[in-house]
Amino acid sequence: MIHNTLEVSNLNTSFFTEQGEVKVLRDVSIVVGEGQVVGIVGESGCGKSMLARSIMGLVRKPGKITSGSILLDGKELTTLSKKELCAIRGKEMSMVFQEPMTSLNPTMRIGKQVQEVIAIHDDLGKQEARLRALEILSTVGIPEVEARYNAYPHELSGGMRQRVMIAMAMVLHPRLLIADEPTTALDATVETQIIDLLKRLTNVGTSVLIISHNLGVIAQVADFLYVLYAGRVVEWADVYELFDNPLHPYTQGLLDAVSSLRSQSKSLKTIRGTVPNLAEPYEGCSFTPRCDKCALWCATKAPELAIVSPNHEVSCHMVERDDDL
Amino acid sequence: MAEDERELVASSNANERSSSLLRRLSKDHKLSVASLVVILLFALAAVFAPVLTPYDYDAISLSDRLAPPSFEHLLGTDEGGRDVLTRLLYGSRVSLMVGIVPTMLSMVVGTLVGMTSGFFGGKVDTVVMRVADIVMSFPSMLLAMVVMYTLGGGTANVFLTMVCVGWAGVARVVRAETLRLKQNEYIEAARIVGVRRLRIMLRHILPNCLPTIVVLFTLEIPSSILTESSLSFLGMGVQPPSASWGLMVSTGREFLYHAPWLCFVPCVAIMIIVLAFNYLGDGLRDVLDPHLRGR
Amino acid sequence: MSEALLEARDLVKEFPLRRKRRVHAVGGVSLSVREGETLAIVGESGCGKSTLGRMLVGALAPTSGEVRFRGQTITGLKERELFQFRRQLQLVFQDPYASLDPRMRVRELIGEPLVAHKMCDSKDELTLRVLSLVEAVGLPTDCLKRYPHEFSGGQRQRIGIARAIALDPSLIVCDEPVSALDVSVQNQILNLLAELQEEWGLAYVFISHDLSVVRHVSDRICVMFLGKVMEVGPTEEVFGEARHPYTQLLLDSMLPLDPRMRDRKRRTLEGEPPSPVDPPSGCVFRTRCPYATKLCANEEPSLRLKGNVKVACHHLNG
Repeated sequence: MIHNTLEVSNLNTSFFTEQGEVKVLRDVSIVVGEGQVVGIVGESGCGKSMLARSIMGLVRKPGKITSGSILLDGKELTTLSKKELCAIRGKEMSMVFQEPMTSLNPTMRIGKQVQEVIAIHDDLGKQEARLRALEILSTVGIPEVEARYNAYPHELSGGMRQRVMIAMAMVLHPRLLIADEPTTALDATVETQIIDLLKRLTNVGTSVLIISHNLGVIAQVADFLYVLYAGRVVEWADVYELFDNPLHPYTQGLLDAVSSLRSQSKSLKTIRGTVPNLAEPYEGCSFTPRCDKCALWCATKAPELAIVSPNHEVSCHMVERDDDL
Repeated sequence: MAEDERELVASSNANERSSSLLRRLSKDHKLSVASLVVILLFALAAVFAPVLTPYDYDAISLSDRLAPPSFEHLLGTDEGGRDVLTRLLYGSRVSLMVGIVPTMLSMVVGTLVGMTSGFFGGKVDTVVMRVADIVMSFPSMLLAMVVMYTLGGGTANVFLTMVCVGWAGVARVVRAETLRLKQNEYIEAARIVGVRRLRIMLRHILPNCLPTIVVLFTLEIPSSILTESSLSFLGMGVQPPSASWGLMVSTGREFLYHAPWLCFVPCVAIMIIVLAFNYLGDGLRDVLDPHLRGR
Repeated sequence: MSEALLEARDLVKEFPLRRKRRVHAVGGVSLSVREGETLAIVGESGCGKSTLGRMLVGALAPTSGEVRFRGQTITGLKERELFQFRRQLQLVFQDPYASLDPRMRVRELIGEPLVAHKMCDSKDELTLRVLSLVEAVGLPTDCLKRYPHEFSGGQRQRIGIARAIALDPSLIVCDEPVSALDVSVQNQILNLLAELQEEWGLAYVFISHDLSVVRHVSDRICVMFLGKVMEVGPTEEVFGEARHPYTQLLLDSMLPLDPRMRDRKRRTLEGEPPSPVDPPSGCVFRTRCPYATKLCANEEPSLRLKGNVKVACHHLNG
């Protein structure tokens, strides 16, 4: 029986604006098993950042989690108080953001910032905390740790700063690490190093939820993959299965687009149209206006996630399912 | 907020392009709307003063001196037997005029100076800003008093003084805004396309500065009103028998024990109008900024 | 054959810092672009490619060196003299959010270049021109009265492209034009740029850090590192056999779309990224290069021709 680090079930998050309720996440269910790396793929407007924030309990007005459950190691997060969430954040689950420069305090030395995380949650003495900080900074690959300990963020390169962020997120050995576009702001040569680092985190017992719009990154690091579109999960599968056999027209479109870029074809494959405006609710499948494979009823009824094969579920009316066969 | 969240809120707000400033103010800033109403009432009262009161502001009636509020004189009479309410209404003309006109002039002068200085930079900018610094480092009242002393009293001179004193603060703020806006990529984009610098200043910088300028305007007005009140209080502003709130406070000081309403009434009036402009400014600032998405 | 449309010679750009230090953003770059071709400038952050792009269109004055357009020198010209060249050289920006004035409507944004160069006699003619540009970039014709924030990132980028082609330029520098866009939208914009190039006879200088994009769009590619050119030549040849160690590294860093290739052997960088304030002596890449020798520290390698490709490396068989 695989123990799940994170279980998100039927999560609904909305923004309450002057126009009314805007549903940013609709019935989203995600599972991150122990020691797994799970990827969330989606483009802008799909809700992936909101998913990360919902899990971390960082959704602020006018946003709100309207229903659903989030279980971290079996503990329900949606009913916790602010104080209880603060105690968990950084210790049992933590997050790494896209822009390491703006996430780090520019006026504080990096060693101290890592120590600060320890100080908030544990009662270690100053010396011990320093040792722990040094240890984690070394583990994430900061060279000459003793010397770098007193550096300021602006004295480090982008890749180094991201490593510091990861160190801060990992110092208390959380059960879950959420990485929101961790390599998007980094150069390609550094990206590969950070991806390797993220992969190694599972060796110390941390499960990773990585969010990215970059399929290449996900392909390199994830065990399972969820595709998000307009606030819904449209497909999820084991990573090898998904890249071999994408079933949802959106997933197929994405993969086609990226691979046509790498092929020698003159005209690039695109997905016509644009991402829908979530403020305008849609009865049927949100992808319909851009879909080449849709039928009449796709516009009237939203499809459900259905099992296609073990470790592969799709939310599409036009895909044959296991139970149909 | 993350980028896609901002997009979300902005795109749903974008659908109400037709929504007026007033409507947006009234949704979340009821205090601002109330303030606006108060200001309008004062303005109307100032304009229709002759209609609202049967008395003349300078009608001396020694037999009626220092009468407490009554049916005939709603706010009592002052040391010359003049109706306080009447003087208050006529005085509001002066106070509002002095609040608005010199502030407008200060804004115009300050904006011109600050924007040009910030946009073109260089030696001119340095010199202009040093001058502004000097003007600002003098206590404004002292400077005002010096100017008034040299030029003599009277409304026109009060106006002039206040513009001399007020432009520097505006110039500083507008210059800072200009410097910030200059960094924007769309300014570089306009230059690359071949737009001349003057046109960039007028077409790109000025409109984007406008929210700041408008808000600054509403916040400077109470400052001007207070300056005028202080000047008149010190005997350097409006001269008797003209009415001005500051003057009323000044003369009312002597009778604080016997006829407290003489001092109290104009003080409260000043306080209300200053607060009203402040709240209006606050509300405008909140409402004008999110219209420009992202910041 | 065709002479160079745009030529840059020994362009250097240094930004002063406090205490007499300087940022050596671009350290002596020469290149040329022919009519109708696409030259890609590739490199990672801090390599100076954006600075170089700005110097090529005359938006930034170089510290030294010159830029020639159709044989005429455009560097060192006064604003008034540079004005006429602006019609020929344009720029598409990376950030579709920041490069459009949020207070201007689309009609004014696209019309601005036309007005600045007095290309239309009447208001109606202006509107007509703007409409045809809007159609050319694939935007709906009712967009003229709307503001930038009402559009998506891809659509805003189209507005930016419409502005750039409004003056019918000969060359457009595209500074990371698709980096801020989603993948599906990226391809739309790349297709658009290719169409426009064919229909309007444009030359592009395409600046990007994304090698897969670059391979697709460019005829020739120029690889930069810390302000200097490492390798330059026909795209297919450079991709087919990268000669410079840095180019090899960049190609290796392209993430494959196949999860089965996740444990493939990869070249890695040595050491720390060097600082443009204090660049290494000799070859600027040597502190990260696995093949660096004493020679590399003492002498800066010049660009030498190897077949059709120019490479700046002392150890060309490494």
